[in-house]
Amino acid sequence: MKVLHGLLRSIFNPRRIITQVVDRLPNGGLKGERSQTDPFWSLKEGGSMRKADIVPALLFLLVGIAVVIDSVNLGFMWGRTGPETGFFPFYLGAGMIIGSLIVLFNAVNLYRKQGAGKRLMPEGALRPILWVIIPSAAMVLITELVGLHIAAALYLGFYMRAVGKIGWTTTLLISIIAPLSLYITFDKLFLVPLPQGLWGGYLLRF
Amino acid sequence: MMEDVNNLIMGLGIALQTYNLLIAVIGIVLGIIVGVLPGLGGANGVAILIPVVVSMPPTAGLILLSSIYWGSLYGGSITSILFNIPGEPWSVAATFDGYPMAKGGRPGKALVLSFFSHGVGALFGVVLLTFFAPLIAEFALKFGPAEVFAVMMLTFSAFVGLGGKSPLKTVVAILFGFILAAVGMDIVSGQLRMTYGTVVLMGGFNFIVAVIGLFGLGEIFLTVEEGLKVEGISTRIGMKDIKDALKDLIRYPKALIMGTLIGAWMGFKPGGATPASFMAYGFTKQASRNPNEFGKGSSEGIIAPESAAQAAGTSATLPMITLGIPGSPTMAVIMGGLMIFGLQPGPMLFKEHAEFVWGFIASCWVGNLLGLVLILPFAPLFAAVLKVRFAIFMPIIIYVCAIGAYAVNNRVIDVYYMLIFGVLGYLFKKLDYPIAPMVLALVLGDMAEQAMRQALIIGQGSPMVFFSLPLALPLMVAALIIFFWPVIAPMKAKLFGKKV
Repeated sequence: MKVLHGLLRSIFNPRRIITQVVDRLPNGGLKGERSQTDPFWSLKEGGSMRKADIVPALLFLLVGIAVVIDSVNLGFMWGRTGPETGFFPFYLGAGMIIGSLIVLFNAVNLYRKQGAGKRLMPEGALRPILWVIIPSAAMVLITELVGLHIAAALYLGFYMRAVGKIGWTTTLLISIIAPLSLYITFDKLFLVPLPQGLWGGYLLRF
Repeated sequence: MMEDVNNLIMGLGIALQTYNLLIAVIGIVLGIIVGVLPGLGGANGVAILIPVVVSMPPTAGLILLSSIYWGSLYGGSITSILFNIPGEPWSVAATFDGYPMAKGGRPGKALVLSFFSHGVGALFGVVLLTFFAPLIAEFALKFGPAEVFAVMMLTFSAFVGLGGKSPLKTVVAILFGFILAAVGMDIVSGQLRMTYGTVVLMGGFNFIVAVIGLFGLGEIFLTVEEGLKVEGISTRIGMKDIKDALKDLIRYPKALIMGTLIGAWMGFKPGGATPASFMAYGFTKQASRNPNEFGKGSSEGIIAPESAAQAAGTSATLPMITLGIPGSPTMAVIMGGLMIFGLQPGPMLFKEHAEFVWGFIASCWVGNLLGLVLILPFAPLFAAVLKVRFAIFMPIIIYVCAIGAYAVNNRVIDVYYMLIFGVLGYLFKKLDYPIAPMVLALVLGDMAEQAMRQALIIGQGSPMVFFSLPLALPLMVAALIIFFWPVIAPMKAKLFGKKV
């Protein structure tokens, strides 16, 4: 185990690889800015969240295992007409297991050596994010009952008033006009039916 | 060559029809607004409009979708320069020198420089598209399943080996994308996979829903975390700004050429506009005669990333239309729109729907030109969009995203998926897992699997079919080398580099 561990570490030492990549990148000054889609707010150094790395890696590991189990059940070998249904997923799952194990190894290792590293979120950032997620999720739940547009009207009103502290007039105006105009655009003009929920059909009858 | 010009003229006839032209203008304006608003990116802007586009003729629909992309490429820079708030990931690099220049008293010049650089990048991208697309399509007609698979391997290897992020996490992200794509019905045998007995998973995951969540909500979470403060510089664009900007464009041809070439390469490779702009900025700074000016409002520091972003965006069309491999995440969504019309991008599209293809290529010329014409005089107007409070436009964006996610398949469950993908996108960005290759894997998953299975059947089970001559072997070898580049590079450095 120890040998394997050491081997994996020497092959996939993330810090060495990252240093390599950064060195090859022009303008090493763009610290941590090596990403495909990073917006400006993540101009912070990457790869330093050792502790936070562990849980997602575990989840990926679980996904990999689940996929492999399923593809073994479906058959992952060579069937009568070619590769069986589980053939492709099997290798995906296997790759996932290996990949996430190495990420996990690295993260645990660095965690032991250098401590937890940077926090996943800056202090106090969780609250505003939850304030976005929970009302949005509530909107989708309400959608099941009264349809998307009415749910959205409630959601807009709630968010603007309770979170955004926006004046009553603006809040009311926008939370009526926005859903109404989108309702007319999508449901009436372009005939894209949007979810009505259980009672939405009775409530919106024009 | 002559034939291409003739085809282009025929295409222009289609793109310049009043209806299509009107659609392009609407698309560009919407795109610029999408570009200005942080949290609503090009990929999302396109994804949300896909349900609307379905009721249009294919050419007009595609023009609308692509125009949004061109508009958002232009528009992202406005807020970068004026407010130091990039409206799009690809305009982050524009803040490095654009904002200092604006702060230093020349906001108009900074904007014009950025727009003209975009224009030049676009011009190069569409020239490339016009004259290389037919060649590549002709070449790709010779591809069998093994070659198609090899090309895809090459694509994903480029993300792993040249993407710059942790190669390992890139691999995990790609595999995750492929796994999500495989959920649901097996396209060949019709068996259900990875549904674990649930009905919910039977429909699988649609990549447009994933894009809306990953790019839209993910960005909103990041914006919220950071807090959005708009402290802007107001501006007007005068003749003097245009004159000075043009002078600087001519004075720094190196920045312009490097930016454009890097952009075109990143669009084709694929990588997309965002890494292209960063790469161009870095390279130009390194090659510049006065690198110390960078970050303080240098013209070169605006020209290079801006031309690269637009060149990457436009040339991302090239692999999409010829090979069916989108060159950027936004292009992947546009391709999704194309497929809804029943048009499978790839070499056959050129043969079977030549009129459609050339109409689209011509519209890329028209759209990018229109973008420049529209944004130059109206940039300050578009910047005013950001005066709307974040707490107002943010919930509206989420609402519109929910409409987009639902309308893809008319399923409410997709809206829940969108929320989950949003959280996932946020975590991915925080933890350095790249999103673009994951989306691409989700888009290409079925195609890649089909190609692999067909190739293996042809090869009677032997994986050597992927290394057959003449075409698959070089592609596959290149893919392997690029894939293992992060491991090869240190070894190479050890062998050769130490002497210097």
